[in-house]
Parts: sequence; C-alpha cells; structure tokens
Amino acid sequence: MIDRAEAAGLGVATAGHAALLIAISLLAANTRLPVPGTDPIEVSLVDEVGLESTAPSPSQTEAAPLPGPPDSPPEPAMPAPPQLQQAPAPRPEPRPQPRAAAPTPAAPKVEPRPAPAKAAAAPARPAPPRRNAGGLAGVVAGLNDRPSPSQSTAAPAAAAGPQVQASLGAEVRRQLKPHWKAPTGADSEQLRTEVVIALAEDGRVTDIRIVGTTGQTASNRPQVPLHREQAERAVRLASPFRLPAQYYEAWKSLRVTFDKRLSQ
Amino acid sequence: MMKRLFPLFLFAFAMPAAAQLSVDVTDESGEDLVIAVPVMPTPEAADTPAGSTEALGRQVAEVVAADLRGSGLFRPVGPGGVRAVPFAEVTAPAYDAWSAAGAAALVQGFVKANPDGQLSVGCYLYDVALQSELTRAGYVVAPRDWRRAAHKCADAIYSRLSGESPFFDSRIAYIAESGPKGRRVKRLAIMDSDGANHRFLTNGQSTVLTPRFSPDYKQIVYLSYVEKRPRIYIYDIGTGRQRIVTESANQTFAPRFSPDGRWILYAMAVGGNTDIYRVSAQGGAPARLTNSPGIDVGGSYSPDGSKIVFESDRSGSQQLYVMNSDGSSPRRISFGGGGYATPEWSPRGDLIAFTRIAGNFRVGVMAPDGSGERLLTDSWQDEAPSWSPNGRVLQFFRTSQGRSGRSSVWQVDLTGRNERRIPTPLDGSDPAWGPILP
Amino acid sequence: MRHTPWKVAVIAAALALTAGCGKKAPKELPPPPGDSADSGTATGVDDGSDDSAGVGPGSREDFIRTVGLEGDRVFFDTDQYDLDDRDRATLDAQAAWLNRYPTVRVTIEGHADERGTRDYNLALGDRRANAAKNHLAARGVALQRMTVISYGKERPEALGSDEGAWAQNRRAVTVLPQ
Repeated sequence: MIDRAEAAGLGVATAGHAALLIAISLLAANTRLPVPGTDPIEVSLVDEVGLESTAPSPSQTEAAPLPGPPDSPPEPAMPAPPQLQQAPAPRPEPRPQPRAAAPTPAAPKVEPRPAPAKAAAAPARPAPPRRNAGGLAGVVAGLNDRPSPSQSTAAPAAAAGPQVQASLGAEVRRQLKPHWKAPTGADSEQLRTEVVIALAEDGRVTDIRIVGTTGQTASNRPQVPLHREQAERAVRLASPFRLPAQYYEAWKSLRVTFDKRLSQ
Repeated sequence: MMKRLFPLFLFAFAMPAAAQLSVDVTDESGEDLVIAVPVMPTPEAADTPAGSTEALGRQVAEVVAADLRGSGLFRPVGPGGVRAVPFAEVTAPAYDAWSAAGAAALVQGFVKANPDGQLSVGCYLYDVALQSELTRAGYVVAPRDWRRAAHKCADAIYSRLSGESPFFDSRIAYIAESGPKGRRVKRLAIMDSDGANHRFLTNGQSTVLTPRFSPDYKQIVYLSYVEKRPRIYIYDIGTGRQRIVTESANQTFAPRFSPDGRWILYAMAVGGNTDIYRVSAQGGAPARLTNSPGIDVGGSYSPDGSKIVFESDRSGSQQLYVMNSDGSSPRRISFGGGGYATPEWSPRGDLIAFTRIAGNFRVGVMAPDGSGERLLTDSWQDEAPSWSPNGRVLQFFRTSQGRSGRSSVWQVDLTGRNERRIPTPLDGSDPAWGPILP
Repeated sequence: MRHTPWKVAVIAAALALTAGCGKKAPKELPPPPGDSADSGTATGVDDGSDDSAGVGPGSREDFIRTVGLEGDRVFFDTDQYDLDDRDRATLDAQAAWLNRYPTVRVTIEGHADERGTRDYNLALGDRRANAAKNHLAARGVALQRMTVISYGKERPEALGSDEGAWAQNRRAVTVLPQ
C-alpha cells in the first residue's frame, strides 16, 4: 500500500523526470539539426578558409558597419566598439545556426545591427580615395537584403564569411588573369606555382613569396623558373588590387595558385 | 574591459593562423606573346662584304622575327610595319609607344661595322608591361656569318621567354629528292635551321640515305650506294672527301654518331640477320652490340652515352628496346600496340621519339621507360623523327600516298602544335638536326 | 578512360595488319613487264633488247628467256621472307640454268614495299635476298657466285599505294650483270 505522501512524491518525481527528459530531448533535438547542412554549401574554392573564419573574423570585419564609416574599417583598433556589440552575436550564432528555421530569433537580432551598419557604410564607401569594390558592391547589398534566410547563420556575422570569400576570390582571379601568361612546353600544363601575397590596405602588393611549384616532370623542369617568374610578374602587374576596404582583413594575405589548363 | 578583450580572446583561440584568401588562376587563352621586332639601327652606316650595315640591320631583324615566329610560341611583329627606332633608343626604349602598339615584349638591337672588318651585333629584350630589360647579348662575327649572329640573338630571346635551351643556331642535314618514284634521284644536302645557306654535297648519281652530322659539324656519316655496294661513309665537309667507315663484305647502314662524337653506331646485315655494331669514329675494329636472330637496327644513344635505344623485331613485330651502351640487358619499352621504329633519344634525355606503325606512320614520343606515350602527328606516312638541339622540336619527313609518293621535311613542336612544312629547293627526306653551333 | 583510345588503336592496328597479310597473289594480276619498263631499275635492263638476236648462251638475255615471265623473281608476304612452293619452283628453274653456266655470277636484289620504315626495310630486303640465295645454294649454286644487295623500299616496281602494287614490290630478283 502506498500512502498519499509517497504517491505525491512519486508523482512529482515522475513529473520532474519527465519534464527533465523533455527539456533534454528538446535541447538535443535543437542541437541535432546543425552543421552538416550548412558546411557543404559553402565549399567552392574557399571551403577551408570559410570554416576557419566564420566566427572570429566576422567580428573583426564587422567593424566597417557601425560608426566612423570610411575610417573604421582599416584601423584595427576601431573595430573594437562594433565588435563589442557583435561579440555576443557570434556566440549564440553557432547554436542558433542549427535551427535553420528557428534561428530567426537570434539571427534577426544580429542582422539589424549589421544591416544598418552596412547600409551606413555603403554610401560612405565611395567617399574614401581607395578603389571602390566595384565587383563586390552587389554582394554587400545582397547581404543587406537577406537577413536570416541565407545560409548565413555563419554568413550574417561573418561579413567575410564563405560567400564573401568566394566573391573576393573571384575578384582577385579576375584581376590577375589578364596578366597571367603560362609558359608553353611539354607537360607545362602540369605545373602549378603557389604564391603568397601580402597586400597593403590600398591594394598595393607589399610582399610576394613563392611557396613552390608542383607537377614537375623531367620534361617541364626547364620551365619551372619561368613559370614562377611569370606568376610573380602577373602579381606585380595586377598591383594595386581593387578590393573592398571593409574586407581588408580577409584579403590582406592571398594564397594564389597559377597553372595552365589547355583548352583541349 | 571584459567586453573589449573578449573578441581578441575569441580571435586568439579560433584563428591560430592568419586567414588567407585562396585563389586559383588558370591560363586557358593559348594566346601567343606579341613581340615587336623593329629594324636594328646602326650607329654609323658602313659597307661590308655582306652589304651595308643599314641593310643588315633590317635583315637581322627579319631573321630574328622569322625564327621566333617559326617556333610557334610567339607572335612577332616587324620589322616591316613597325616604327623605326633611332640608335639612342636601343638601350632606352619608348615603352609607352610600344605598349600603345600592343606589344608585350620588344626586341631591339644594332649592327655596327668594326674597324677590323668584323660585325658587332647587339641584341636586347624588354618587357613592355614591366618596363624592364629582360636580357641582352652581343656578338662579333665575320660579315658573312651575320645570319649566325641573328640566330644567336633569336636564341637568347627564345630562351629567356620560354625557359628552353636555344636551337636556332644549328644546321640540318637531309636527303634532297627529285625524279619519279621508281627512279628517285637522291642527293646529300645541308642547310641552316631556317633553310638558308643550302648546299648540295653529292650529285645524285648514287643513291644516298640517312645522313647524320658529327657533333662538331665537321663530318656527315651516311649510307651510299656508290658502285652498287651499299656502305656507310664519312663525308668531310671541309675537304669534300669521303671515306668508308668500316670495310666489310656485308651491307652496312643506319649510321649515327654518339653524342660525344667518338663512336659510330650502325647496322650490318650478315646472311639475312641484321645487328647493331659500334666502331670508333677514327676507324678500327667494330664491336657487336646486339645478338638476336631478329632484325636489330637504328640505335640511338642517351645524351649521357650510357644507354642505347633501338628497334628490333625479335618479338615478332618491330618494337623499341633499351640496352646499356655495351649491349647488355636489352629491355623492351614499347607496348602500345602496332609496330614501333626509328627511335631517337632526346638531347634532353627526357623522351624518346619514334615512328609508330599501325597501317599509317605517326610520329610520337614516350618516356625512356616506355610510359607516357603521345602521338604528335596523324598523316599517311610521317617517318623518322629527329630532335632539335634543345629537345623541343621534332623534325621528320612526310610522304604522300600514291604514284607520286613525294616526301617533304616537316617539323612539329613537342606539344603537338605548330606542325609545319620546312621549305627546301627540291623534295626532302631523312632530315637530321645537328647540335647548337658554339 | 585513357585506355579506351588504346583499345581502339590496338583493334585498328590488328585489323590493319590482317588487311596487310594478303595472300601472295593479288586480286588483279600485276601488269606484264612491258608496262613497267620505265621503272625497271630492278632488273637493270636499259638496252631494251629482248628478241632473240644476239642472245648467246649464258647471257642475261638467255637467262631471262629461259626462266620466263617473272621467273627471275620471287614474291613475299608483308614483313615475311619465307618461300612458298611457287617461289621454290621459280628458284629451281633459276638454279637449273645457273648450274649449266657455272661461271656466271649473279646479284640477288632484295626489296620491300613502301609500308615499312627505311632502315628496317633495308634489313628486310636483305633477308629476302638471302632466302633466295640460300635456296639456290641448296640447289647447287656456289655461294661465291652470288652477291646479295638490299634496296629496301628505294626501288619500287609498281608505283601505286595499293595492295597490288605492294605485292609486286615485295620481291627478291636474280640479276645477271650486263
């Protein structure tokens, strides 16, 4: 025979356990949706970079939006204030990310902030003497217009998230390609020279470092010094690069691979 | 305070290395480099046995432009149709003008008559976009050798822009052909790599075949049917005299020099069996290198002289084999189906050229271990490729089908591009390329 | 994927080779010697005289008259140098004549068609000439009387680029000096 107190206690305990279980399962359910969905989408050229830069860099680059428009982006110190406001955002980001639909609560919170900031920055951009981000203007505008829906979970906070990275990459490629003349020779299409470039804020090349040339064979070895020379030459001729100032942190160091694909 | 530090904290943890934007740049254009080659001015007009220095300045530029164009890698413009360059501008180019004209590179030079009667030829290459000098060279030659100075200049430019070794300043030996197919008249002939300075060395009374230069260009070894006894002979270009390479009652043929000029490889047919032999270029007792009941013919040394590639039908069909230079350890390297013949080791050592027989004859290359086989031409009969001195261009002869069956000399770049006919006074076959002239 | 073109090439090559292995007797008969007189360097005849006037015993004209149409030569398959029955009969007739005139010397010329590379064809011509020579020797003709020379593909009889012409050119011809 169970007396009333014990029954009540059992009931409460059961209810409490049930509630706990539900809470836990809800939590688990929430955290389950996640990452797999978003990562693959971003791949393209810059997957590795995208994965890395999602959380931290956004806070850096977010600098541009807020106050002192033109000047704030370049100066590393300035970013701090806007970061403070954005900082909390990245944290909740990873979790809300999974909630593809649900994220709205978190995302919109973040969006409004960058949105007006970017909007503020947009008009301000033409003012500074540095090259306009002609090719990227549309991208930025696009980001503004799309608050939560876009893959973004990572995107919003990451002003230099994967899709921006992709756009920056495409722009750099566009500016290098006209100057890149690969040597011709047996097996020369197998050569790939990797170059690391340091850029100043105005897009000037301040340092070029040849990392190496892969794909060497007995037939194309004589071409290697020339391949590297041509790669360096293309970089010098493309300088200064015309890239958006507010993403400087993302493009201040470039790792470029030069090769020749014969259209046969 | 905390808030200010926070992002840095995050940054430090989440960004161990500096973020780098990765970009892939490819070049699919296949466009050739536009190189301007203006007439080369002379500091002081003078007459030489080869013409005035002004005329020579134009001719040198023409030879340079033709060489660069013939390589298939560049698009030279000039000397006709491009602005004239005053002597002072030779070392101080008007980059803007050339850039506006669309040139990516610029070749300038000069021709000067020296007091001692020699010619001085200067040659400069500039990058118009970067506005810098890429290379310069100067040559002092006898007036009659002005073409060599032009070829050396073209070589300097070609090497600098392509990364390859030079090859324009070289000579070609081949068999000039005329007459009907059943009674062809064949003559030994030599010419510069661009066809200039052509000379016939024999008069065609006896059939001559398969000539090869000695590395010092002083001699040509070849097969002659003089007196109806086909044997290989050495022709001395300076004296015009020929001597037999090795006395034998048997037919000898397919001769070629070793890269150092010390040995001559040849084939000898004894009682129906043909093998490869080696004899000193000075003469002496031959050494037999192959010993099989099959036909072994056409040995070609690797550039370091350690190995020989040859063709043999010991397996039942013509195939390529590589053996040590002493004849040991022959190993088959061709397995692509069809027959393989006329192997030639590239002077760079990286490839072996051959004729592939599968109904028709096609010129191809493969690595010395037999891998990476590539066919470069596709015609009824493209036969017997030989290499340019830098291992970049293959020269062969193409025969047309039918009752006329005429042969002509052709070249193709290693990439399979720029296949073109080399003009000769008559028809031609069996072309062989000598090394770079020192 | 890279192997597919190779398979096609191998099959094509195999087909081409089998096409080349035609029977010795071509579909159309080779033209009579009269038509190929202007390219008859193989036989080396340039006096044009082929009638009985001045045909002495043991002379070249006598030989040609005796062995008959194409009796001075034997034919071969592509890349081959073996003799068939008809070849042996031809050579036997030659041997019989040669044995009647033991002082006569001959040159046996070996030839190949144009479908081989130059050096290999020189070696192949030599093989064919030696095949004929060895058979003659077996029939009693002294070796010292016979000289062998290969012309490879340098002296075609028939000028076309077809199987009929090629079959005519794959030959070993017994030639007497003038």
